Parts: sequence; C-alpha cells; structure tokens
Amino acid sequence: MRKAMLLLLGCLVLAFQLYAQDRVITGRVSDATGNPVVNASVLVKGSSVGTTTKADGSFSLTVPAGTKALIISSVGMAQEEVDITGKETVNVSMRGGENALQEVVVTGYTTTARNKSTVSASVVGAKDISNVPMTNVNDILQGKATGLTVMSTSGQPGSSSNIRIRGVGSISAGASPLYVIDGIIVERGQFVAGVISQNNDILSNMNPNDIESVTVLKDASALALYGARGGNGVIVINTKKGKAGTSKVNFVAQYGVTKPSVGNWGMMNAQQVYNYERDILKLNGYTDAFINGYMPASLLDKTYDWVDGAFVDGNVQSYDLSISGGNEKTRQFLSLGYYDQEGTVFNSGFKRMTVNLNVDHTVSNRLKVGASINTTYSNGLNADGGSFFSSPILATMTNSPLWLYPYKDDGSLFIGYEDEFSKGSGNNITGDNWLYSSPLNYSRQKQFRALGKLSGELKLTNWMALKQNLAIDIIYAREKAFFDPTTGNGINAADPTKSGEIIESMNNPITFTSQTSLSGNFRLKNNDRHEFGYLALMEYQRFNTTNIQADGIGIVDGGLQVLNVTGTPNAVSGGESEYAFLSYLGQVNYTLDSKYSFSASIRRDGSSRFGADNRYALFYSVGGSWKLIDESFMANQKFFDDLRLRASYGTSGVADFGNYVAQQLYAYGQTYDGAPGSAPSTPGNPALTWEKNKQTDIGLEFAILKNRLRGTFDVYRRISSELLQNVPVSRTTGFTTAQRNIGELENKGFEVSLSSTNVKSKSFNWTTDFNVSYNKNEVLKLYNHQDIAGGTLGRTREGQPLNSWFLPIWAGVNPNNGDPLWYLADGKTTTNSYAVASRTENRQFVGTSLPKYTFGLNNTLSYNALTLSFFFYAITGSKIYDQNMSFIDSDGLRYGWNYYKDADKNYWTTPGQQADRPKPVIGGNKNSASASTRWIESNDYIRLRNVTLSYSLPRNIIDRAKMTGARFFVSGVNLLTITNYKGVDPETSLAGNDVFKYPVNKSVTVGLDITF
Amino acid sequence: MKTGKYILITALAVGTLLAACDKQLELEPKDSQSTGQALSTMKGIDAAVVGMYANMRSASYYGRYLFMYGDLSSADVYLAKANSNRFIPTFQRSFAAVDADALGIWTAAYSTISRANNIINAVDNVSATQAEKDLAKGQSLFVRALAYFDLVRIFAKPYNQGGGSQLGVPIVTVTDISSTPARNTVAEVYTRIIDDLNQAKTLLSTTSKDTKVTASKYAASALLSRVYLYKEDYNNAITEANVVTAAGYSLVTPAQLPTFYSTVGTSEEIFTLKFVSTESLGSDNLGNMYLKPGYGDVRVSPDLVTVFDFGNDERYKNFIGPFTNSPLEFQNNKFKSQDGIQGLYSPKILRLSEVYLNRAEAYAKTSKDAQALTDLNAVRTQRGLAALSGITGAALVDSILTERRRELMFEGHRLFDLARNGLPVVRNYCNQPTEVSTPQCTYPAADPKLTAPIPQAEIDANPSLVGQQNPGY
Repeated sequence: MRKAMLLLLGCLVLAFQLYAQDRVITGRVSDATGNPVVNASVLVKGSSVGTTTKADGSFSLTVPAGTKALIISSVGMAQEEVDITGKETVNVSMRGGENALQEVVVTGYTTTARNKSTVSASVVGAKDISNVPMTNVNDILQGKATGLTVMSTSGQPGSSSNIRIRGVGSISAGASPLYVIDGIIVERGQFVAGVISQNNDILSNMNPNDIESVTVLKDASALALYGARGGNGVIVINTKKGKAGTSKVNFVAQYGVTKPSVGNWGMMNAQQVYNYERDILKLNGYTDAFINGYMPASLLDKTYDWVDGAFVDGNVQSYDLSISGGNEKTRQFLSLGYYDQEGTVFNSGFKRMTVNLNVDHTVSNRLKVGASINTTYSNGLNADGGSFFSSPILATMTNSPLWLYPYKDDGSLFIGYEDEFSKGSGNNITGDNWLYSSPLNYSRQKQFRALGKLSGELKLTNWMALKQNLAIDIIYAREKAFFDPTTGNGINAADPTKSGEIIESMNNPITFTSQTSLSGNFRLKNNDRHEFGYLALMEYQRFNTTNIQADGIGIVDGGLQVLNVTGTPNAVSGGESEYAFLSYLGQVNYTLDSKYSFSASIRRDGSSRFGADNRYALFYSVGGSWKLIDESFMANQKFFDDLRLRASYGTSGVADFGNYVAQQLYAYGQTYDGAPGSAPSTPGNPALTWEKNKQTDIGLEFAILKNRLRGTFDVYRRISSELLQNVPVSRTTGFTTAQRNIGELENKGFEVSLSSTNVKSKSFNWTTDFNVSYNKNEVLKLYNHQDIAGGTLGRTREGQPLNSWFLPIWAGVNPNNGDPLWYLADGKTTTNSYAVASRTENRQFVGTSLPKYTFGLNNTLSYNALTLSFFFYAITGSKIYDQNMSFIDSDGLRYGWNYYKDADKNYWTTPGQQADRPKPVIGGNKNSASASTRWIESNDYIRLRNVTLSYSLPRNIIDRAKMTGARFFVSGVNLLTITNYKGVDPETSLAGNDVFKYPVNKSVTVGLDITF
Repeated sequence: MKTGKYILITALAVGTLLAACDKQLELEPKDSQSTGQALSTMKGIDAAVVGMYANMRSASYYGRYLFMYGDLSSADVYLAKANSNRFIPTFQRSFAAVDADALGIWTAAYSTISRANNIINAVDNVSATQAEKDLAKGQSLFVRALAYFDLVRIFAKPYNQGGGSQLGVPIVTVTDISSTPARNTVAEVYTRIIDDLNQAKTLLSTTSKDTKVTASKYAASALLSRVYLYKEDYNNAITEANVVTAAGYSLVTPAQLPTFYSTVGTSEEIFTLKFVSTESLGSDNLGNMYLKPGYGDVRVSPDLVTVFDFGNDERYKNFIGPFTNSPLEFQNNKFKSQDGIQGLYSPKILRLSEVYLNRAEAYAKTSKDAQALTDLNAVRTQRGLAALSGITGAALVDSILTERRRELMFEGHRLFDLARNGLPVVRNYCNQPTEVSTPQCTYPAADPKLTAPIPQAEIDANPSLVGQQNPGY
C-alpha cells in the first residue's frame, strides 16, 4: 500500500511541474481525536496536482490559479473536500469511515487509485473488523461486502464457514474464494484430522484485530490476475503496518459472556413428554391400567433437562497490544494478541495467541526492504460432532427428559450403556451419557501458523522498479483425540484390554512463494495527457504437506493420556502431497486526461495438477473506467458530485481439486496376508484442466448531495464452464466414475452499496451504510444432460439452481384416519411414502439453499463522545431442510426420544379432524417423517449482527493522563434474530440441511481501548 | 548505463528462475505410481496381486455380502424384525434395479476383475523368471474366473434355464475407462471361466496343497469341479474333483471342528481369503450380522434346524445355539471370532468337503451311486453322523443336497444349489412375528426374483446394456 502511494506520489510530482505556479496553501490534517494524519493525499480538485502530509500532518501545496477546493483523502478515512477560496491556511479534520469511494483498490499484486481502477471490489476496513468477539474474519465479514455470502456451518469457536463470492461456480471442485494475505496466496481450510469433532478453519488462527483492510475482489478485471485460481473470487487481507510519526501504543481489552442462539426452537419438558406419551398410548389403544403401570406419575420425580445441560453460557475475553511508529526511513508495527472463547456447548472452546512484526525500511533512495512475521497459535477444544452418540448436541434432541436420568441413586453418573440409565426399556438411543463421557474425552486441536515474508524493491529508473517477494507459510496442525477406557466411545466390552483409545495426528503443510516483478508508472513527457502503468510478474508457488497419524488402544487408567501407555498399536498412517504453480502475469494500465482509464491483463498459469496435455492455462481481462464527472457536459449540473462508469470482461479459472487426479495411478497401501500391495486408484484424464470462468461486469460509482450520499452499483454475469464432474463410467472398468471437464453454470446478479451521511454537525453525526446483493444461479449444462442424483433430498438438473431441493410433496393429514398423505405426479394423494419417493416424477423442485438476496445495514450515530452503531444482516429467498424436525416431530417414529415443544399440538385424534400432524403411532405412522416438503422451510431472517455503544474520554482528561485516546465500549453480537423458521438457527451451511448443528452464539462484551 | 546493467541482471535472474521452475510442474504423488510404472517390474506385479486379493475382502464381496447372499435368499436364515436395515431386499427378494447391495457386489467383482486383467495383460512384459510370471498370472486368472463365476450366478439365470444361451454378464479382459460392453451369454461366460481356470492350473504347477491363502492349482481344480457341476458337465466335475482329493487334503476331525472356522490354514482348506487382525472390517465383519453385540440381524431359521440330527451332528452342536437374549431363536456361531476379534472371519472359499460333495452329486447324477455314497459318507462320518447305505437315485441326490445344505450352511451356497437343481426356495418359517415379512414364502427355481437386477447405475453409464435388464425389473 505504501509503495503504491509513493508511486502515485511520483506521478503526482511529475504532473505538478507542468502547471503554472500560483499560490501556496499550507495546512494540517488531523483525525477525529486530533492526531495528525500522516501520508494523507492532498489534491487540487479536478486535477492530479497534489502532495501528501508529513509526520505531523502538515502539508504545503502550490496550487494553480483559480483553484477552489482541495480533496483530502487517506486510507480508512472519509474523503474530505475543503473550500480554499481566499484562504492560505486550512486545517482539516478527517473522520474515519468506510466509504464506497475509498481512494485505492488493492488487488494483492497491484494498488490503483480508485478513480482510475476498472476493478469491482468491496473493501471492509479495520473499524468494521476489530473487536468483534468472533474467531474467524470470514464470519465478521458477513453482510459487510456486497457479493460475498458467508454461511456458518457450526457455532464451534474456530470452525469454518462456507464462503462464496458471486454465487457458486463449481459443482464438484472447490467453490471457495482464494485468500491472499499481504500479497501472498495462502492456504485456507481445515488441516487438522477431525476425528469426531466439528470442522475447523486455519484462518481462525489469524487475529482479526491485526487486519487493516479486507478487499473482496469480484470481477474479471481483478480475478484474471489470479488466473487458474481466481475464478471463485479473491479475498485480499492486508495486515496493519507501521506509520511514520509519533509512536502509538494501543491496548484493547474485551470481556463478555456468550450464549447459544437457538432461535424459535425448543424441546418438551418432562411434564409435557409425560402427557404427550400417555396420550399417544391412549390413542393407540392401550388401556388406562397399562398406561398407569407403564408410566406412573413417579416418573416425574427425577427428570433431567438435557437441553439445559448441553448448552452453557461461556466467557469470551481478548487482549490486544500493538505498538506502531517509525520515521521516514523505518516504520514498524508490533502486535500481541490473546483471545479466549468458551463454547456454548459443554466442554468446548478456543484460545489463540498471536505475535506479529512488520518492518519497512528505506535503505537508500533506490532500495526499500520490508519483512513481516506473523505467528499464531491456537488451542481448540471441540465438542463432539452432532452425528456422534457422544455428542451433547445430539442429546438435546434424542435424550428424553422423562426417561433418561443421568445420575445413579448414589449420585454418580451412568456411563450410558447400562440398562438402568433408562427408566423404561428402549428409551436409550445413544448408549452414551455425555455428562459422563464429555468431561473425560476430548478432541483437542493445536495449530501453529507462521507467515513470513521478505520483500525488496529496487528503483531502477523513474519508470521501473524491480521487486522481489519471498514468503513462506508454515502450518503445524495437530489433533489429539482421547477416549477414556470407561466411556462409551472407549470401552471394548469383548476385550477389556483394548478399552480406551488415543488418536494423535499431525499435518504439516508448507507453502513457498516467490514473486519477481518489474513495474512502473510513467508519462512519456512531463506534461503529457497520457499516463501509463505496467506490471510484469513471475510467481512460483510450491506446496507440500505431510501428515502422520497414530492410533493406540488399550489404556489402563484414564489419567494416562499418551500413546506410549496404550497396549496395542491400532493403526499408523502417513502421507505426503504436493502441488506447484508457475505463473506469469502482465498488466498494463493507461489513463487519458485522468478521465479515461483502460487496463488489460494476461496470465499464464502452469500447474502440476493439470493433465500432461493441458499443463498451461491462459487468462486475460480487459477493463475500462470513465470518469463522467470530469466531462465538460457535466460541469453545469449540480446533482452529481462524482460519477464514474466502469466495465470489465475477462477469464479466470478454478483449479481447486485433487493434486493428482489427472494421472492414471496405482495407489499403494493395500495389504494381503501381511504383504504390502497396490491397486488402481485413479482412472486418469490427461486432458483434465482448470474450470473456466468468464465474467462481465458493469459498475457505476456516484456521489450526490455534496458527497453525503455515495453509492456503487454493479451488474454482472459469470459463466462457469468445463466444470469438473464425476462422470459415471461402466463399472466393468473397475471404476465407478471418472473426472471430466463437462458442466456449465451461470451466476448473474447485481450489487448495490450506499453510504450516507445523514446528519453532520459539530456534536451529532449519523451515517448509514446499506448494501444489497442479488444472485441467481442456474445449471446450464451437465454431462449427457443427465441429472446428478443427490440422494433423497436434492438433485442437480439443468435449468435449476445448484443446491436445489427435490422432494415428494407433502399433502397433509387424512382427516378420516390421521394418515400422512403425499401427492403423486397425477395430483392424487397416497399414503405410500416409498411409492412417492422412489419415482422421480413424484418429486418436485422446491427451492434452493442458496439465498437470493443478502442485505447489510449499518447505522452509526455519534453524539459528542458517544457513538452507537448497529448492524443488521438479512437474507431472503432460500429454503432449508429441517432434518432435526423430522426426528423430533415425527408422529411417534422416534417414540422415546425427546420431542419438539409443539409436537403435541393439533395432531390427529378423531375422524374428521383437520389436523396439522398425523396420528402419532409408536414406531411411526406410515413413514410420515420421511423426506418431503413437510420439512422444507423458508429461512428468511434479519439478524442484529452487531451493536456497539462506545464512549471516548474527553480530550482534557486524555491529555492529563498523557494518553492520545481512550474509549470504553459495550458490544453485542447476534442479540436479535427475526425469523419464522422453527428450527435452531435460520443460518445454515451452504448445504442447507439443518441437522444437529452446533448453534451460533450470541454475546455481550465490554471493552476498553486506550492509546498512548 | 547503470540502469541498463540492472535490467540485464534482472533479465538474467528471471531467465534462470524460469528454467529452474518449469520442471517443478511434473510432480508425482508420494503414495502412488502411474499405472505403467506400477506394473513394469515383478515387484510391482506382485504388489498388484496383493491388491487384487485385498479387493475381495470388501464387505460388498467375500468380506460379507457374498456369504450372506445365498443364505438370506433361501430358507436357512431370516432377518429379525428389529434390524439395522441391511439386506432387506435380498431377504424379501424384492430388489429394485437401484438396489445398493446388488450394485455393491457388481462393482466389487468387476473391480477385482479389472485388477486381475491389468496383471494378466502386463506380466508378460516385465523382466523376471518365467516361474515368477506364471505364478502371478495364474493367480490372476483364477481370481478373474472366480469373480466371473460369482457374477454369472448372481446376475444371470442358472445354466440349465436356457442352456447357456440366456444373457450372462459382460466379459471384460482389458481395462479401458471408456468401454461400454454388452452382456455376453451365460455359455460364453462359462467358457471364459473354464479357459481361465485351465490356464491357471497349468501356470500354478509349482503350487502345492499347502498354498492355501493364495490360489493354487488345486484351488483351480476345486473351483472347476463346482463350475462344471453348475454347468451339469458331471464327468469333468468328477475329473477335477479327483485331482483335488488325490492331493493330500484331509477333512478336519470332529475334535478339530470347533476351532475350524476361527483358524486359517487347516488341512481341509483349499483356498481361503485371509483377513489378518488389522484388516478387520469392524462392525461390518461377517459374523457381526449374526451376533450381538453386533448387528445381530440374521437368525437361523427353524427350517434349517429341523434338518439336523441334534444329538449327533457336530455341526449343529458347534455352530447353532440359542440367540443372545432371545433364547427361542437360533444363532449362527460359525463366525464368532478370529484373533480375538468378534465376527472376524477369513472366508474359506474352497474346501475339501465341498469337493467331496461336488463329486458325490456328479456321481449320483451319472448313476454311479456307490461312488457317490462313498464321497457322501466321507463327509458324514467326519461330522458325527453314521454312514448311509442302500439309497439310490433321486433319494441319493436328495441326501447329498441335504448334506451340502448342512455342511455349507451360512457360506453362501444354498440359493444356487436349489436353483441349479430346479428346486424352489420354500420358507416354512415365514412371516413370523420375529422376522421381516416377505411378499412370498415360496419362490420357484425359475422365479425371475431369484436373479438379481443388473444395477441401474451400470445401465445408466453403459448404453450397451439398455434393453438387457433381467426380466421383472
């Protein structure tokens, strides 16, 4: 960023020489708290004449005659326009703000002045990212950038979310965006083994408070720069850097409580279960005498609320210390962070420690060097995944508060498999009492990541700089799963000497990156109207990962928790995998009269992943930007203060698939009679290649009402073709499928973001930021035009969006006998669920789990030292399958489990009754809970994602305490969710199947932010 | 000038880097080799042979399903009412073309064949001694024949229901990912099997009766005797059986019988697919379908129990008992454990008692009743039963088939032994409260439901099979 600013400055200086020198304006630029703003750009309005501010915020600029106003801008600040008519000195106070028209666009490879950029990008600044008590920056970005969809897969702290940019562009390859940190492509996703735990994301290791800005790149003009890996969009993260000027020491402490957010969902209490089950028995013809014998009132003497037990309140705390400063030659940023979040499911949590150092040094006027080291360590304790019998999450729905009581008469806990654990036979589904097993067993994930980067820049001429970046990304992802010998998951009844198990694993991915580039900006002559910029870059990236896993069984005592104590080595495995990319990138930019900008790029990517016949890929883009506001025909209009049109078209690719799928392979690892062996593993496809994306984007950026309302509007169409499909092959070949580049998808939509300064006065300010994104996804082509069957719930078909639900249609309850009914294709109804589900003509497409619209709305109100901001996030247009409900509201099928709180409302009891629910029958009423539209629900929701109230101490107190700033704040996350969805959480993963998900949490924290 | 030098240095540096990096794009996996490379040496071929056997351990094949299929489809066992939802269509004979179990065995058998094909086609080109090559090729031919035999008896009508001209299964001898073969006739498939086994017999000439967990020349003969029996070529069945009985194998004694099924390498075994303890399929072990804890879904039918002489038959005494926690039902104890692992079993695919019974049946059907009785009694007397005498003709065949039912119970033979003899599946113990209900209690030998459907997934991917589905699906 800094380098780019200097380059920009270079151009400005060149331009400066050609104007008549008329008068000198001096001034000082400060921020809201009065601190100097260093390196702010000061420009004569409507020209490229300008300068930047010095360490004390001061500037001096010679402006041509007739100059009426200056434009002041700085990263992370709202642009200011200052009237200088008749003035020689101006003092400008800038406000921090994330405006739509920030001054630069960072693509990772390049930094371009926004008003000349052809790129469509959303930028989220530090203000919106820091001090939100969430582990993963992805979750913090939800709703803050247009075109970006973030869907939580689990509320486990440290878990990953599904991230998509401008829809889903892949069927079987990865559809997640590429992540770039400080210009280097980094690994993302899960590296720990994940034995029975929730999912995990290495990005959770990054401290969001170290992030200066996140840029979401969406259009071809930016994505073509990333070639074969840019197709799914790119998230560019820039970390905080030191600024020249007075050293700043910043300390932020935050502490609060978290609670699970379970929405409208609830389970029955013991009394409700008691009444409901007695009514079912009665309805099924059991006599009162039997019912009283089987379910005496004494059952209610000892009951346990399994929901209450599983979900707990937790604490979250974080402490961040940073020191930044420097002078014109050397600037540094140091930070130290500690984050500790307890999960909202019993016995889970996440801790993280981070240490960072960024240094930039100007060696001479030709040479600059920089280094950054970003080290992080996290220690996660994972709740058992909801599909495991030992999971407290599962138990909230399966464990009857009436029939299962966790404690024995002597007060000790049942292990779970004892007959007496259940007060009646057959009511123990899980065979595991998590109250006993969860505190003993664990799945612990310790991850270390170091991102190191060294960069050098040698200025060869005024128009050419040679840059070299070397970076290394080292990840150590360990996991240890421990199963106590006395717990359900550890016990081996047949052979007690094999009870207890320890699984330890280690994954060690290392990525090396080298970037060598020549770049520059220049004009042919000093006073030329033509500005040029170019970049020629070569990038080499090599990834290697090794993993090892050891599994031992047979533990004498649960207190002994290392592999050495296990009696029997159960399994050992290890592997290694690699890929390499070699890429060449060229980009040219041309600007005429500061009004018309044009850019073109070309990238050639070679990858070890591609088939031998298709090893290299070529990508390109073209883009243009037209600054309409500077045209003479706009001179007389008063409506627009800024107006710019841009358009781009280009290609990019997706290469997010297995490292060796192109090769025909025999894999080793088979055994027979103690001998090692091999077997065919991949049929191979020498023509295998990247998936191709072509995207068109047209954007409009504008400002009206004296820059008080700024906005961006983008429309796009993205065609993804040659998508990898696992094409079924004749099984007589020994294979079931082969990967081929076949499918085609379309994503099209629009994005609007608006920023408004509603009230601006000395003591009261109110700003609003609003964004909406719309995306429509459609499958254009599949292999042989054949559907891809997606089991009982979904199906991929041409003409439909991806992630479509394809289900039998629920026809309600037969009023005569309480039977469940489904529609047949001819419109008649049937009670035969199998007949309906087994024939595709009876099933229909009933929506998709992909949202159509996503909204973000942020309001910030400040009154003197008080600031209140609240941020809403909303989605509409998606449907989710509430599989939980099909278990807990299943008309007697899961008799003996716990039940949905309203399962006892309006079920069929008498002929003629128009009931919502079929007659409950023990063991199930004709498969009434089988997959159908009965369990499809809209999950439209509005969520108060974040609300923060902060108070800055007055200047006089701060000065007396020798501080430069002090702020107290109270922050709430997910405090309010408005939805009709009946289940636990309307926010599901991309797959949209709500089943035993770890709920997201809500939190309230208080914090202190002081700067010296 | 100075600038020019910088640029030159840069260009040189970049050029060097480019040249150095380009090769880096050819990365080979660490746990795999290209197919050509993997099969280019004798060591590689031997590893592929290991992989071929390993494939047969799949739970969809000899690991579990093949041994369940023939019994669940007949009257010897039933599926308990409370079950884990496994194999219901097999028991009810109510397959849909999309049935996962039928697809599973089709896939596993063909993937075994593909592994064998790769070896057969590559082994002649490696440099090694002829003996080494013959051993690898002979084993592969045997395994390929076995897999085709399993496919043809499950997915096609018995040989005698059409004289071999009915549709069999596609014959594939070369791995080609784009191939879409149509079904060959049953006769063509049998010809392929017999050719492969005869070749295997020759190529495996160095093997002995002690070669038990890999294919031997005697395994080829033993399988041939069964194949000829299915084909009703009785003289050849006798000839091949003679080779085996003369080889020095011996039936285990009543004293050895209790540990017979938990021991690998007994005197009676001809070919056993070995599982070592680390290869346990866990809950998917064959025995766990019969045992609690375990799925315990499959119980022994009273229909089978009634054919035993309870007091004397060692097989009844050792292998059928009351069901755990349900003493009125019967439990199969053949596959209780191996190496201390519950339900683990190394399937004894070919063993001497079957060869005796193959030959007995072939003798009886060619009116050599005395020789038939001798073979039958050879088995009976080692199982605690008295020798039979004085029976002839149909009654003798009947006795031999009943003996076969007792001897090979739970080993996947019963459905095929009934069908090839034109006998119906008759379930007297049928639709009882303890068991899953079935649409029919009797299935005539020609009932189309006794032939499994060609899997729909195969037809979808292989246009040559459109219109070649078995009748009734």
